[in-house]
Amino acid sequence: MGLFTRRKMAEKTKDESYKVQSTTSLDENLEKIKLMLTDCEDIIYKEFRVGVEQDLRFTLIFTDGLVDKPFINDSILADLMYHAREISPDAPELKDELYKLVRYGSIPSPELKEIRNLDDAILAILTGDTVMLIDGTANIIVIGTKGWPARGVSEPSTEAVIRGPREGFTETYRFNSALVRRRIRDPRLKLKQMQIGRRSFTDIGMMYIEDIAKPELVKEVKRRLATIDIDAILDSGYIEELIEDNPFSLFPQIKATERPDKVAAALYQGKVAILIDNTPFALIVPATFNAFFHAAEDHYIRWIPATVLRLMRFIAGTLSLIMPALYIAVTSYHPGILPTELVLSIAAAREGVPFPAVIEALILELTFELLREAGVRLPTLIGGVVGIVGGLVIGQAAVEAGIVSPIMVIIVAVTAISSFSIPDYSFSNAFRLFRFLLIFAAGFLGLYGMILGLLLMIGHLVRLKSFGTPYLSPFVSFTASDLKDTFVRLPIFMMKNRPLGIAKDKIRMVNNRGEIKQTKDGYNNGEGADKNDKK
Amino acid sequence: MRIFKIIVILILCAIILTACWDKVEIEDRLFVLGIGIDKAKEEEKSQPTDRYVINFASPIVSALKNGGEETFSTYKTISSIFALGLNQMYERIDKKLSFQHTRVLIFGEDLLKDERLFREVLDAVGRAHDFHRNMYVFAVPGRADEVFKIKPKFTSILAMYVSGIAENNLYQSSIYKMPAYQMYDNLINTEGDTVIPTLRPSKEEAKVSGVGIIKDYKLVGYLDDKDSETLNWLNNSANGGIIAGQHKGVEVPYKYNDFNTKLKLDKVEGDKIYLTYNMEAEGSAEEYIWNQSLLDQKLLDDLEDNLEKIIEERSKSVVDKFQKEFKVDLIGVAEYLRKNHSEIYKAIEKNYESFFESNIVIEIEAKAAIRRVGTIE
Repeated sequence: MGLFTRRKMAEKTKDESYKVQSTTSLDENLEKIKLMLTDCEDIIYKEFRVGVEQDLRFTLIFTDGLVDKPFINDSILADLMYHAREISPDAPELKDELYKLVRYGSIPSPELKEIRNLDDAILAILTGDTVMLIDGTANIIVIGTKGWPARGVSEPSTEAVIRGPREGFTETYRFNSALVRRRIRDPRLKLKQMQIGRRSFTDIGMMYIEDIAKPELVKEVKRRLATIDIDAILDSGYIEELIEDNPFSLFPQIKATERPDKVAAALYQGKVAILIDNTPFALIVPATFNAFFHAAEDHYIRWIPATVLRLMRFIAGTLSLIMPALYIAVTSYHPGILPTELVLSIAAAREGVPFPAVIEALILELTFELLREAGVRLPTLIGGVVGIVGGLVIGQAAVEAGIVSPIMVIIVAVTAISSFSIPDYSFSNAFRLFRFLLIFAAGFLGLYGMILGLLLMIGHLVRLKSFGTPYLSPFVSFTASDLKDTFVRLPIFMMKNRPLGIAKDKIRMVNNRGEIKQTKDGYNNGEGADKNDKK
Repeated sequence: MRIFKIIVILILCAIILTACWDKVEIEDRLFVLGIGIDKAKEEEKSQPTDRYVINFASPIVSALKNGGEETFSTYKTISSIFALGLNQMYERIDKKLSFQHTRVLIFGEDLLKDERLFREVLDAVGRAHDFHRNMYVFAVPGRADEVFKIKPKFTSILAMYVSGIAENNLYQSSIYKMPAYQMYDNLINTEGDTVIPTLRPSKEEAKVSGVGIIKDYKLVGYLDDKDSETLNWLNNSANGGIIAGQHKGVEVPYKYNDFNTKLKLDKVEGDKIYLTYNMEAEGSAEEYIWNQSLLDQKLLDDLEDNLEKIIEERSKSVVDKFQKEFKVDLIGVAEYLRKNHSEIYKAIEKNYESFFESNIVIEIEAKAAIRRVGTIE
């Protein structure tokens, strides 16, 4: 029943006629607004009069803390209150044309718009704009005066690079869209804005490049966003969970990033980005398994090291997934597959350990996860102490007490280090959880169980889709040419096409390095050098 | 939801019904690294039916960790059946025997001379699924349990010591390396003929030198270490070694690091088959005599000719031994004919042994190259 009424309500609010219309009487409008904003003590009402006879009444309404006060003082109040006096006092036309004069002449603000209903006015006030009521007209002027204490653009701490831009998104939506726009000076870069959240009215921006992104994809993203009907959106995680294909999957199907260059790169590939106010994380759809292993830097450093690093990352990812399970399976079920010397040293290390390998692994893995969880919440100073204490407890005391074997410590440590090399936090979480599942499977069924577990995972991944793109593409729905940017990263001059599976416009580059033919002395007499000169 | 139910049921089945039945923690296993099998002597038998004396060698894992005196232990059991002998051990140890890392399998002379016992053991080891197919097989002229009394000097674990010697055949080809799979392969292909390297134990060490000849599942004789090196040449399994040559009264050791042998059918004439072993050795002259240059082409040619003669003579004598003395083809002729000239082989297959003895004429053609002559001239 509750659902039914809610839907009815939703339909009502979308209806324009439901909104309260403003009237020509300032007092009446003001009274209505004040009634709506009762007990909102951070709202400031500034009433003032203009004219020789002080009979032209104005009221400014804005929220304290969300507005740029010097701007209101210098550009609205000063202009209207002082300059208005310099105009001939009793020009009769002034009164009639008051609204037009103010609207088009008196306020030196770039952002001005007029509205005719009080609901929008209140929303504007709460967004940080200033609302001007003028006696005698039903038009309400909204002046863009947003200005609040905001964190500056700084280096994203979760996706730091050695080479590459150090800009990261901030909590302010408008900065973020500007950061992306700066990287794409193309009129075909579209930014569709909407407000989601019945109470929060959070600004959401959907960005895509019109002729690269597939229209089906754009429509689908728009549709899914439109289905959201919730009281508030506090972070990108809300949107992610509400629009992803399979919320029950361990694997994230949407990529969250703090880096504007990453968003721009994704847009150039034909993906769609979603910017959300109040969070420095933008969402990129569709996201594939492959993309979660890529770091921003891969395309900024030279391609050979980039390829090696990427391969290493894939190997590390695999290790972080299967290492403890493999160890358990081998030591508890199949010691025959190891070299004899290694078997003997493992057996020697495990001598006297009271737990079976699977329990030992669980103890250490859980301790590690605990340490990690504790370290995340603590301030940096204490976090370091936790690391030392934890390291000592795990590495030294537990081994000496004979509770765990030193080899297991090595296994867990290598697993931990490997898991940190997966660039994406939420993706590495999936591996983290799946690791435990594999530990159990290996503990019960040995290698057979481990392989069963992996098959389960791969089966799931093959089925999974992210906004119509298979999660494992380009490995499934195979396009050989898309493999150029997977385990390896081919030189940029070889990546002449955009990913075929995603982009609509596939040609990315027509020039090629063949034109950089060198003569014997290394120069080419500047042939074609003026191509980029401004004419 | 249905899929979740199915997954939960599957997982529960896996956990409840299987219950880790073959899980044995690594420290609860007793890794048997070496097994020695002898025929039981009358005075050893506790029951008249006993036929085998089986020796085991296992590392003492805790000693490996803490550096104890004894790093491996040996123990023996006497039984009527091989598999029973293995299982009897459970009456005496608190661990699970594991043969996945067995590195050496040692047969005593008596056992090898008793066709029935040998065949039983071969079958038992061949059928068992957890024996490593790569373990090295040895024959001991004497009793295999002598080996298990050795306290090796350089390696802490006996079986590793013995298998380590076998792997030295990379540098010394008189060591014949015979992994179990290869022995089984030979036995199957030839119906009971193979060579098994001999291991001669003494108090503190063992020596792999020469091979024992098994014909029809029975030990018929031995070759010494010089002949076993030649056998490696003939079978194209030599990797490196030194040939002692002489030149004008000066000893010239020739160290080869590459030795290739190709068998070739020359002709079939009447009822005789003519075959040639083409041997090619490459290596270096290790010494000549001080203050005498080896960079003289004529001298080198001389030396090479000399070497070729030695190789040919030695090979010929070993071939003769197999043809005349043992009357068994362990030098790869049958295999060559079967693989490359199957119609010829088919014709002689039935009576191969006597055919090999008298109707196969083998030539040796050796080519030795001295590529390096050392540093100081």
